[in-house]
Amino acid sequence: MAVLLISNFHDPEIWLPAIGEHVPGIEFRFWPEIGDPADINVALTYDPPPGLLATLPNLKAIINLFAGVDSLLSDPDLPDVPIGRMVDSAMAHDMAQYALLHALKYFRQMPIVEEHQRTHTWEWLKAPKVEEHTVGVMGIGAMGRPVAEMLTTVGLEVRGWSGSARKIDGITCFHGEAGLRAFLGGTRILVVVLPKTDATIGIINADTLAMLPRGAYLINIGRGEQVVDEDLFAALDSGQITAATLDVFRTEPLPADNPYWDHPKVTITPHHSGTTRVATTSRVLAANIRRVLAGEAPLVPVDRTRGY
Amino acid sequence: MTVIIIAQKPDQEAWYRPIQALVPEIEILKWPDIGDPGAVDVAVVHKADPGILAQFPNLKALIGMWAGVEHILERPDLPDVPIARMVDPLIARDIGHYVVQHTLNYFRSMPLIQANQRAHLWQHIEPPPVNFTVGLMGLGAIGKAAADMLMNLGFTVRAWTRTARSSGGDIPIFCGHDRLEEFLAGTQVCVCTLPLTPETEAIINTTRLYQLPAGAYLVNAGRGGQVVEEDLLAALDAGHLAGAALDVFHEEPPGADSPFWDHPRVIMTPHNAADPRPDSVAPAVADNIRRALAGQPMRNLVDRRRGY
Repeated sequence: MAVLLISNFHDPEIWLPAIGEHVPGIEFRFWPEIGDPADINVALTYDPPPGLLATLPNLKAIINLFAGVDSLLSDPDLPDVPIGRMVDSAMAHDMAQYALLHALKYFRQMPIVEEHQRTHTWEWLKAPKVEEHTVGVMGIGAMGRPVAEMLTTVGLEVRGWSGSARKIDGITCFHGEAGLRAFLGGTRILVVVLPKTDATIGIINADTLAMLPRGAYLINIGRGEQVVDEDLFAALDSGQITAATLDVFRTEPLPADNPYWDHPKVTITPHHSGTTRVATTSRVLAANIRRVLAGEAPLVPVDRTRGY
Repeated sequence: MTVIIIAQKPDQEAWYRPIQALVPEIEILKWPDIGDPGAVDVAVVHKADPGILAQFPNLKALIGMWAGVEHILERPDLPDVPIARMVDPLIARDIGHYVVQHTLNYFRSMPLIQANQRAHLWQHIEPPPVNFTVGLMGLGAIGKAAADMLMNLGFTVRAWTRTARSSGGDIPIFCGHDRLEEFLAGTQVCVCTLPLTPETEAIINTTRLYQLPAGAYLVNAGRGGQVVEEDLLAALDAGHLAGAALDVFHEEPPGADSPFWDHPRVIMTPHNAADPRPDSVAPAVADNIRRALAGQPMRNLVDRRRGY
């Protein structure tokens, strides 16, 4: 019986002892040193090579090390075992802070204020009204809901959209394609926190950007593939979008010659909105390992047909 | 019984209308229409040129439309009448937003991330620390609003006040100049929302800045006179302070040669952390007009000895 860590991101010397501390007596291995593949019962994965998981005959469950499981599910040979994904409340909290920081930055007209500082211009700006700067959170599930809720704690107007119907106190919720136009039409600052699925790839495109009121702002902490980059550039250039903050990109790290880097209306952050912390994440991973070894479902099970 | 509103065009109408609507039975004059100056009982002041206040010999009360009153207390034409200042929840919320935005901006490494963007550098940023203390200098209505928001975001909050107060809720309070050093030593982001009084003038000086831990950040939404600007620049240039967000300055607008404009670690904003809105403050002003005309004590009276 052993747990296999498959990741190019997680340092095994840090992570394995941290997780092991909460599940004493369990043997851990670090890919590619698998040993006897028949020993492996649980795989902790981040972007595993396609086909690798299918070589583990006694695999009981897969726990994905991040919230997004899109790359895992794209493995054509993915074994038919339960999959859990990491929904780490500390990570959701970090994402919510990030969204709040950048929403406040736009609400308080910081791009103009920064430009004034560069040109030594002292110009008092009238305070914008909260009711004219509704923040629309696209994706109000495990990650998006804490984001929407944190935005309300400072008195911002918040609305939410999700693929299927959801209800959150104090937040006007829209859903489905039918609700998208109404949702975007009243959104001044759009925060994308969607999981990457077939339905969300390319969802931020010329049509949806045009549904936002003119001069809206975009904050993307979902996945890079959700944005059609050419459409966003066009919307920034036409003024339909005033400015955008992007944490995720189709290619990461963002190539040095990508035009986003020097775009004056774009803020780039290095996929940093939700950060992984060893102390909190290892505890959740250990709880997941205990559950799946006992034959229980993982804490946040993945529905393969929905894609998250 | 007459009331006069003294504001500058073009703001005058905006201040006058919502107040007059709430006290339709009372005649409100608009400067410079002073009617019979001897009949004016109450002056509602937003901006008044020097000498104006001396023209009303029978003034019984003065209602200011600002949170800070230091500029009015220094006026040679100030009549010896009760003065009320503005305590408006929207002002507190606006300044809370300012404090949260600039605290998060520093906490989430945005100065480094923005420098990396200029260099087209995608660099992993360490997760923000789990325990992080924001120290608030001043815990009036404004400081309290900021404290509530920061605590909701997971920050540890402490406060320094000049005088003892009965309740700070869960916030540890360090009271008086004797405890300022201890307060600063455990503060990573120092936020000033103090009123300017003889006691708080120049309170942020070399000695106090070096009582903050190395790498601390300063947010000043109080008054420019509280910071010794040369001392702040020296502490920034010596690398002791990581940076500062400043909304207020000794001289406003700051001179074109102010070193803050081009300082790479200073964010300057044009004294617009809060923007008092006529429709929001009108009910409190109307209430104080009624009280003053009826000979009752006004709310939010200024204590001239304390200076606020």
